[in-house]
Amino acid sequence: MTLLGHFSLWAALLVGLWGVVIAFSGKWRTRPDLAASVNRSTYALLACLLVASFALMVGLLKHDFNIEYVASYTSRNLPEYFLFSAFWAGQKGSLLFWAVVLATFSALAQFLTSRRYADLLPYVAGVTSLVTVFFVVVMLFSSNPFERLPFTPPDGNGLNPQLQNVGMIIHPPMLYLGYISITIPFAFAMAALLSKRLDTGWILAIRKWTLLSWLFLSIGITLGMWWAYVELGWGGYWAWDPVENASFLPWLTMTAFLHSVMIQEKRGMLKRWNLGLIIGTFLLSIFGTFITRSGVISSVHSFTQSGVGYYFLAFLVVSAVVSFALLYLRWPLLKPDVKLESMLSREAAFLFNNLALVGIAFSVLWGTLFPILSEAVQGTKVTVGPPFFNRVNIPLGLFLLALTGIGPLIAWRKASASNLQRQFRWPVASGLVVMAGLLLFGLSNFYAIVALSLSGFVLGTVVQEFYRGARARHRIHGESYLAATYHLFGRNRRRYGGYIVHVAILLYFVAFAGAAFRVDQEATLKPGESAEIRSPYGHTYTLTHVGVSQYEALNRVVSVATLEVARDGKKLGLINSEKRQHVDSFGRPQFQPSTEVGIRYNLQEDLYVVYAGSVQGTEEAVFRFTINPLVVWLWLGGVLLIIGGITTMWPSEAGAIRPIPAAAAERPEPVGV
Amino acid sequence: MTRSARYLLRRGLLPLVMMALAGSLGAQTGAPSPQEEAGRLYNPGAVQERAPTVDLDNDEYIKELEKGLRCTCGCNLDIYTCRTTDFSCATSPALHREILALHNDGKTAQEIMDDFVARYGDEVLMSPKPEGFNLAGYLVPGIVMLVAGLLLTAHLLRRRRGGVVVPVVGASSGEPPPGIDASPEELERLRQEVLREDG
Repeated sequence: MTLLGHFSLWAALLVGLWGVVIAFSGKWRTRPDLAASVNRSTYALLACLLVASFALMVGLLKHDFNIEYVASYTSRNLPEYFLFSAFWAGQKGSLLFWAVVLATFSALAQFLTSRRYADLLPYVAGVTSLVTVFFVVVMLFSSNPFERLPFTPPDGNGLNPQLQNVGMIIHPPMLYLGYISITIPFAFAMAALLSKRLDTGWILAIRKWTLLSWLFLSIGITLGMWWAYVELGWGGYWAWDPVENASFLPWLTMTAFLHSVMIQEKRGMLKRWNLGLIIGTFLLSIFGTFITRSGVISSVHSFTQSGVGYYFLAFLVVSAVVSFALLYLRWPLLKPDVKLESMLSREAAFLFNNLALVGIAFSVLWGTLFPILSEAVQGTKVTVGPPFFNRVNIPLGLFLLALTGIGPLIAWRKASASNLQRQFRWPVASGLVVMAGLLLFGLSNFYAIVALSLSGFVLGTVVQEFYRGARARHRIHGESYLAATYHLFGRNRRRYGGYIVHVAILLYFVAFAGAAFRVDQEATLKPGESAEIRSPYGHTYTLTHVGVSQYEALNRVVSVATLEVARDGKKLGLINSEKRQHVDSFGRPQFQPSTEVGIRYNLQEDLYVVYAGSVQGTEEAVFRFTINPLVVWLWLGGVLLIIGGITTMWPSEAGAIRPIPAAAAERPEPVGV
Repeated sequence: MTRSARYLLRRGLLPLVMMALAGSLGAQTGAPSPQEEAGRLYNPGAVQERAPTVDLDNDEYIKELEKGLRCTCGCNLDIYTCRTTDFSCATSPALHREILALHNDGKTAQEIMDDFVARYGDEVLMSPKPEGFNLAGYLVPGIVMLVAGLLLTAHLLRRRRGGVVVPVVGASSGEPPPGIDASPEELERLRQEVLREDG
């Protein structure tokens, strides 16, 4: 099987190179057979990489420990579903995973894109094949998943226990899908620049791809937060770790693009900016991979580090130089069709939204790279941790949250004073009501009050938009309000799906605000002893240690600490937290014991229990109890975000973007009709 | 006798269940009080060994201090987060004990931080001291944002002054704009709806 894998990778390299050379030679312009050949080369590339993936998967499932990758990341007693996730658990496998997914997306882009853009497709194939070839080269010359060991060990090292979690089956592939799918919009942008076809056509061709990419990144990041929360046992979900930052950066620029592209579609403005954002997003996705794999910045994700990082650095530099040089060459062709008419317009609001998003991206990038810069300039290594990122990004995040409400309410082109008054009256009132309520309840944390009040404002804008849309349909078509609301989505899924995403984002902010009131407490308890922890809402939890039980499972010894939970004296039930000592197939311990937290959640707060360890090997156990207010809203926001994202992508006959006629001045978008 | 009880008897399980019940009752009457020695684990090696909690572990002052200092195990986390995350690091509990010892010696938070910097270097601080080149770390994002915002505003205002004024076609004439397939009556009805909506 390794021979087949090796052979497939070499075949992929040759096929990919063929596609790249033909695409960029430009000879296909006069020879349709060559254009067809470039198109077919993407399918052939996919076939080669599917065969390579199949070969690795067979090695993993058959426990072929002569393959170094299989021996490093699996063991005989690893549950079968984790054998599948082992495919991307390590460096080499994840490179193959990246390449095969990119080849799949490339083939789909060729297959699904309308023939209207036929003159772009060979260039698109050339760019996607070039990126795929880069990954194949890294595998063949530095990090080959089919590398054999000089001997066959009786068992493998097993999978890191923290990766033996359902979140880790879904979270990395989702992030990879997000990173990888960015290549398709980037390829279309490059194709538009190369072919000089710089109208809005390429933007329409990639609309679904950009949304898909953004959605995958959003799901991947949220699942990563969830995994960190339920698996790492620290009671948080975001630590501003360089690798977390690396995933956040392309999300920010992609979010900026999703907003600014609407201005290009509707008004023919920001063509240069949008191309810059797409190029920047692609480069940031490669930068993220470089950060994750190079070890140049220390990170909790150090299990993925190796020497391939510098391949990515070289690729990043070359890609940046070529892309921006091409953009510079086409600069004169990218003049805007119209000019901005007023600072009080949706275009201006979107520009400031872009400024905030790109500003946050810059500050995160700056903070992530500052330790390297400091070492280079002053010869001293410094740490840039959460205190720095929170100080810089919380105000920017709140500014962005405010714009989330402001943007959709301002009219395109030019808003009048009466427009502003009419649109903002109720949303501002809802924000003020929330603020008054919070102050009445004695809340004193400034950022939490601002975040929750702005969330009230944004919710007010969305409710108002739905209400007005439904009311207009009710009056014109005589529909009930429920039916009218339903039909709003049918008329303009992109707009109303976008509002759902806005609500999801405000739920994220609600959860972030809750983090300001987190309470931690450690306690050592013998069976029968109790500890109390007071919630920020005023009630008290009493946790009584019942005992520790131990049992053996397939590949681990599990120690379960059980506690009885009571709230203000009223018994709520039991809560368990585990320690898992993983063992190999000979029963020998592997890795450090890992933690499985116990969580009891409701809409108010999570009671988060961690069994930290035992005193002198007895049932006397050390626990950490945490009360995390409002965390569940983060996960609800994640679900809503997926619903909103899918809604915006769903085909809609009326969802096509139409240019704004001049008569629409001083009016917001027509609602409902 | 029910079928299920007969089945249990046949399988020899009922006596076992009754013995277990009797055993658990006995265990309840003779259960050790919390003050007594806690039972030993069947497999103590499967669980991390921990020292019992002391009052200072829950001291907010110590927690905040530890959140400002980095664990030197290479995890990139602060000492508090590292020592309470998965509990597999041996370095952060040792650093925690060092902090407690310095605190018990009567040192202030600043003195403890200085002591750590002297021993482990500037890298031990979770955010760099705001001095010298480090100031760039704090100020550059804000300055860049400010300059970008001002430039954007100036650019927009300049464009607006020299901007192209697009005539508002059909806004008051009752004639539909080009490309809009609607009669003047339909447009008027739409206008009335919009006015009514405006209230």
